[in-house]
Amino acid sequence: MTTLLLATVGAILTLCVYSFLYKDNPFYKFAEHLVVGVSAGYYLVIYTFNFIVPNVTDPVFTLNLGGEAIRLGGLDWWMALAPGLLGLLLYTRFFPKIAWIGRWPLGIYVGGYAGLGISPVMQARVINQLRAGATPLAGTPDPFANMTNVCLGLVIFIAVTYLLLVKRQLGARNTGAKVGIVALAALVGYGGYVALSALSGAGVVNLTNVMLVVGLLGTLTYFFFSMRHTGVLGVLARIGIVFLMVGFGASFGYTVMSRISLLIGRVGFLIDWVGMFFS
Amino acid sequence: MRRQLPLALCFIFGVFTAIQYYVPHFRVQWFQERLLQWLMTLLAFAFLLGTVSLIKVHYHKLRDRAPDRGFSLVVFAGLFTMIGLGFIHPDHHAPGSPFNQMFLNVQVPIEATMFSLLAFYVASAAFRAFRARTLEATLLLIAAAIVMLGRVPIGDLISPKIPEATRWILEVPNLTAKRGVMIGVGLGMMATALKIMLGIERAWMGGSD
Amino acid sequence: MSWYDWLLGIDRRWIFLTIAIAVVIPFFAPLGLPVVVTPPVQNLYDAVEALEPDGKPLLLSIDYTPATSPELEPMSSGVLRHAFRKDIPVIVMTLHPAGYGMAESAILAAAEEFGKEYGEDYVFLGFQPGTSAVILGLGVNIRTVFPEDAYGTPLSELPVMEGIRNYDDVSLLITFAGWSAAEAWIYYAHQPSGQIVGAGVTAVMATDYYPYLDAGQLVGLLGGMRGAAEYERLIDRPDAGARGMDSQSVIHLIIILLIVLGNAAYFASRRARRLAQARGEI
Repeated sequence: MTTLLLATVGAILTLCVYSFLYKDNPFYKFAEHLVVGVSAGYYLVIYTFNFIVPNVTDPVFTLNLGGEAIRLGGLDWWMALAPGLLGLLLYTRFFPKIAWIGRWPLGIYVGGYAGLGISPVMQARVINQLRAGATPLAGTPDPFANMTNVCLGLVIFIAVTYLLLVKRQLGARNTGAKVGIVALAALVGYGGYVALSALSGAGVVNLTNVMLVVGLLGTLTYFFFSMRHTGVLGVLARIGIVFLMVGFGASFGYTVMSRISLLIGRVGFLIDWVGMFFS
Repeated sequence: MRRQLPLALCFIFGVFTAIQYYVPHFRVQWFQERLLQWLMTLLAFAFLLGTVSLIKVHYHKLRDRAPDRGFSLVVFAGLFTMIGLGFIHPDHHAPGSPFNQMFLNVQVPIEATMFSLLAFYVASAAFRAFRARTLEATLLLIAAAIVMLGRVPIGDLISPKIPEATRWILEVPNLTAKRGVMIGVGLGMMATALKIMLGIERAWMGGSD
Repeated sequence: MSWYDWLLGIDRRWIFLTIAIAVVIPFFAPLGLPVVVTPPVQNLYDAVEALEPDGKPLLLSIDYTPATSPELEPMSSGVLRHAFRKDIPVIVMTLHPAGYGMAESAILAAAEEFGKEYGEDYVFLGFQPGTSAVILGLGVNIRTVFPEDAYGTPLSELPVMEGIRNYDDVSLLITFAGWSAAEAWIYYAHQPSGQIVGAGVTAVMATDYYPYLDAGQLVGLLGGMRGAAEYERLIDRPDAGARGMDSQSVIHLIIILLIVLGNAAYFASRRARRLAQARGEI
């Protein structure tokens, strides 16, 4: 009975939030404000009992640190008291005349965290990524060879079609000629695919790795704003945009998936709740 | 004192935390261990500061008789109920305690449902906003459609080539594009950290002196 | 009114209704489509599978909030079930205050299912604030960061924590996060200490983690509900992840259809406008 009652509270609040889909209304606003208050209260209690009590108040006032007794005025005692006092200084911001004192702990906090990040971020995001990005362009197995070749064949097809139909304006007034040109471009694209497959099959070149290296250079070039994107730099930046767009497309696909998953979770909850009345 | 001392503290602690990775001396490591504890404590106090600010905002709404002040009462009701259940209940963290039940049956459903609303808006945006106006936008949409199909079981059913193409998109063009962005952002993060430590970036100090 | 004008002017609430119906129907009429396992998920499964029973513990950081729980809760439950089934000791913690409640409910459900005893087979350390400071602190001494567990028991009184000092004493670390905590584990646990890290992240974040996976900074990756469904398949225990896959399939098809329809209507309307302009009607 208690389970059903609690689930009903959750279900009613869920429906209050969904009512926003029709239009903004007081039920939605009620749920919105309730969650602000409840979550702030929850976090406050968790912060207090998980951190402040065992790390600050217990050692300072009851001389107990992790179940072990510490000495009043000893190093461990001071090490618990000092950050606690610094933390309290943050509250001087509520008193305009001494608000500037709050910058002392803030300076330690901001500087400390800034310094902590430099080396690991450099290692994880820059050095290791550059190392992983510098892949051998031949002589390694290529599990994606077929897909890469299909993609490159498609690029050749699109490039030839664009060159002949748009740039050269061939067959501008003749539909039959247009179809012929597209067929020719398809043939060239397919030929490209066959040739590239033969090359990668023979181990002459690892086209996937070539793509990875060119894509990385292109993306980096696109974000390199110190020089005008013309000439080789312009071409690389253009290639970078293509890779970025495909990457963003993948992100968009995954974003849709993510949002739908959240909805499925809530719908599953509501269906289970309705099921409770019949079980 | 008002500006120089915080900047000096920022620089000293920043330099220390940055170089301690390369100094494996036990005294440095001992101090680092304590300093990490200090940073955690400061964050905890800063969070509590946020709660005080929340109370202030809603108190002012009530005092000034703002039009939607009734909802501020709802905020206070939620906040003080949780604080009450957390601080007064002797075993608040025990599974099944009223404090936990409030979390599981009030906070979880509301928060989860609020985020699930995005599913409806993403569907609406897909219909109204995603247009293949340019080559770049077309590429984005094609990649998105392949990934959307390739990551659900129905994609396998339509053709095994779809999950294969999805894997290729994720592990070739997506990988290299995201790696480029990651490197660029990483360099930006380091530059920002250095600017903060050296006192070039001072937004954290606020406007007044 | 032409078809494209009608389509472009449709009230978005009809789209909302379509989505709602499409999500609900597969719950009552499941398609039962099989889920194929992808390499990132297989790698994470293999990493857990390779752990020694009653050996070094598995450290799980359940860092998600209620907002992302439908995606991440099935993952954490799957990994917990896998570990408990193999008798691997488990240490659970969180870097987010809301993760406290999420972690507790996930671990209690799995422990009850496998009859695991608190303190002997698993422990819940609770929450500590400060993300990077916490992760770095764990690399030095777990007891400085967590003097006691979530319920106030000193770590020295918990048998499962015996001899555990830092990452050297932990076999594998897996984080489940809907925010940048997963990256923080890579920066501050993998980089300085060489700790092997696996991650379960929301689908929104998954594409951004492929560079880490490729560079060997992550041993495996679960991305979104699909990742959870794949893991459930590997441990042969279908649950919330697998349950959602049918609805996911249907909705993805509908969204692709919406994109196609939206574009068709847009281009038809643009073409009509151009023709009208050419005729001098507008």
